[in-house]
Amino acid sequence: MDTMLDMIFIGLLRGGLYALMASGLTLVLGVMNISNFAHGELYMVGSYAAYFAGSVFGLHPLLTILIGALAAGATGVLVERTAFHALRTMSRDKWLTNSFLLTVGVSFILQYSAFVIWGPTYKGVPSYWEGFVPLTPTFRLPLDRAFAFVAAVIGVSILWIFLTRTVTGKAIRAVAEDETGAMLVGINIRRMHTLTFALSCLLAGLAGASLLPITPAQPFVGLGPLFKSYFVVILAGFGNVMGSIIGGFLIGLLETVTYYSFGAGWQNVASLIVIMLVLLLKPTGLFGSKQ
Amino acid sequence: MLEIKNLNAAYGHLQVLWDVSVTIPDEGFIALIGPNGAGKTTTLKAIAGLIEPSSGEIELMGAPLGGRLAYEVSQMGVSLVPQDLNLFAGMPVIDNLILGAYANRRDKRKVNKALDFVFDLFPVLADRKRQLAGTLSGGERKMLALGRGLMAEPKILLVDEPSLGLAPLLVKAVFEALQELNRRGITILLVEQNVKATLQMTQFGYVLEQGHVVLQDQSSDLLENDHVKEAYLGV
Repeated sequence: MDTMLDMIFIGLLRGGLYALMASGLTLVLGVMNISNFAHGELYMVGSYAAYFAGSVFGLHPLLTILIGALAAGATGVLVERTAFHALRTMSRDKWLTNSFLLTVGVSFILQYSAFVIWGPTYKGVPSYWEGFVPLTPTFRLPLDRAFAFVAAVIGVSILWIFLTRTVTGKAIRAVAEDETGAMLVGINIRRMHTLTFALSCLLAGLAGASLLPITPAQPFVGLGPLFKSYFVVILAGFGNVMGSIIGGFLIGLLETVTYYSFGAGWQNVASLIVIMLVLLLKPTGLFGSKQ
Repeated sequence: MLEIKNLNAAYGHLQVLWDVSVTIPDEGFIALIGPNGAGKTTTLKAIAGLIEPSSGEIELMGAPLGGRLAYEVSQMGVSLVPQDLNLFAGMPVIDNLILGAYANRRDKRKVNKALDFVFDLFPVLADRKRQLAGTLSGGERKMLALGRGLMAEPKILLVDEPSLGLAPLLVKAVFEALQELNRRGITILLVEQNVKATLQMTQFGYVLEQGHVVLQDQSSDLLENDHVKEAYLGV
């Protein structure tokens, strides 16, 4: 019984961070029709920014996490305003492929810039907060993980409330629904694209920054989160934000159960088998996609 | 209100509009009629900013529109209700309408006033406030598109073939709504294939054929015109 409860807690903890990463990725896919292969690198930006804020400047953990998120958001604005805008003005032909390739390029640039500037060494902090939360008799949850989970839940909740209850959020969804219609009601598409992308990157950076004590910063730290995000997005359905949130938790739970039942190496196998089944039986995703 | 002077437009190398000139007076109800492929929709799209003209001028109350982006044109007071409707299908009726007032989003009172106006004009939309736009019937979707176009309290309403695909009773309802709107002082440019009803409703009409304005006259005179009678009224 205890192990079952422990597994559920651990699964939810993981799932929260997956939901955070995946919701941003799927949002950009639905609104901008861009499959962002550099999404993991925004996690990395958040990670490094948090490292410098927390370890080098010794700032308070909450401020550190915030700085990580904002740094990633700012990077997103830069990438969108330069790379994506340039592509959009040059050619809308074969957009999905071209924009994807562009993000692959951005991914390489970010990864290897980090490598060149800071080297391959891991840069981390021992912890943000010392101590544990005794959740069950067999499971003491490190405070760092607890705060990371809380950050994920807050991030996802704010995103959801923003998208469903504010006019700007609805405008972003409108762009995903019908871009021409959005133009006709006076929505500035360019501004919405930048805002959407910045939001997506902010959330990825939040994940990277809040997980710094657990996963230190290094140039390729984004690869894992990238793949997990794509797993969730494919499982849930492209462009479906709520689907990705739920899907994130599902994958988190699935991985944890597999880990404890069969061992660490089988986590990805289990997720990928599920995804293969989904693609074969319901290609639009478990919860349906925008396209 | 709206002045189009020598408008030329093309899709790539295919020129679609040739020196089109149209004048729409304040509170006017003007018709733009012609066969399929004549360039009527293109004209509306050029005004709305969805297409960039190759040459010519479009002026709204003296201010130039040509070349501006669609969202700017919309914010200046031009509302296009397109043929394809371009509704936000996955969002409820109320959100579609609220977004219609996006330009006025900071003035809650204005938005609510506009909502009351639209619900009064189309009570069926009030009944289906929370229903997803994509699940509405054809007629209801047309009404939603019209309602959304009205939410921004536009200076001029451009309507592209509202009767398309509608049952006759609904066509009558939509046309009556347009007349009522014009009576209340809204300027309307109506593109329609239903020539007889359109000329009966409007004050002035332009006949567009193969991208050229071939006729322009009072609507009542156009109804008597031999060419119009032969080509469009089946006489």
